[in-house]
Amino acid sequence: MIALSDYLILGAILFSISVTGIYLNRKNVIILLMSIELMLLSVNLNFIAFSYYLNDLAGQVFVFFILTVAAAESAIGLAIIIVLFRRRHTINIEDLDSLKG
Amino acid sequence: MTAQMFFIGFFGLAGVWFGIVVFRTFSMVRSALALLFSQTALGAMFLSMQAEFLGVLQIMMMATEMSIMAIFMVMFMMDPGGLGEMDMTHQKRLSLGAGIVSFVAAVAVAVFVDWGPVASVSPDAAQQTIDLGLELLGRSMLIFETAGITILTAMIAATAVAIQPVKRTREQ
Repeated sequence: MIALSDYLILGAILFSISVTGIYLNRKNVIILLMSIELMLLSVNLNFIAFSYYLNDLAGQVFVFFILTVAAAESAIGLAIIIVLFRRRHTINIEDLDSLKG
Repeated sequence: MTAQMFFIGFFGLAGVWFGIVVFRTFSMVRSALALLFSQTALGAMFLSMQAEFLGVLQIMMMATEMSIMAIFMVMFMMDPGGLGEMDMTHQKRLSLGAGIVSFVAAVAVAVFVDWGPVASVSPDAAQQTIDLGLELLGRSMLIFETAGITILTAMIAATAVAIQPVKRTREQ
């Protein structure tokens, strides 16, 4: 029988992969968006596992909302990328340092 | 039970492997597709936990989302196919350190926290879907409606942000 902690450890592995990816990549905004998607996915896995093992539907409702937020986040992110590319002609993260002062 | 364990193990390994491939491949399109496979594998794991509605929803949403990401990669990256073998990775040591620290912290929480009594038997897939529908249209109605408004706002905001500004000339 597969225990609850096995799913949680799988979620932890995916979460750490996405944290590694955020630091590893310094060129591409889209890869950053994809890392955040992977992070949300690992959280989803945890919620579904909790919902299944603790027999509580609130976890599935959370997953439903997280999927909505993930879609909204990527839509807005991609729209911002379009504007960024139109103004700066690059989406290289290292070139976007206007806030550095 | 053995078949289910094989199913879960296979899809768990596939999810982790494709998650790693996302950051290892040189090709941007391949990277988006690897993320799609990773999400699909975990969607299949949702199915094994009887959450059929959310598993299918996850697979469908991520399929469209990752194809859009792949199109954006081709549009905006100078080398989307990865033919130039440009190294996209930086600060390897810091990123590995951050990954290991977050992994250890998450595993420590997962293993050492007492999550309470585990339910001995869970309802089957059809019952879970019915329960989720009743939950969404009952106690969690506000969340359901907020999700709809969020999607609508995101659609309008994304279009408004990305639209080409029109230069107005004042004629008097």
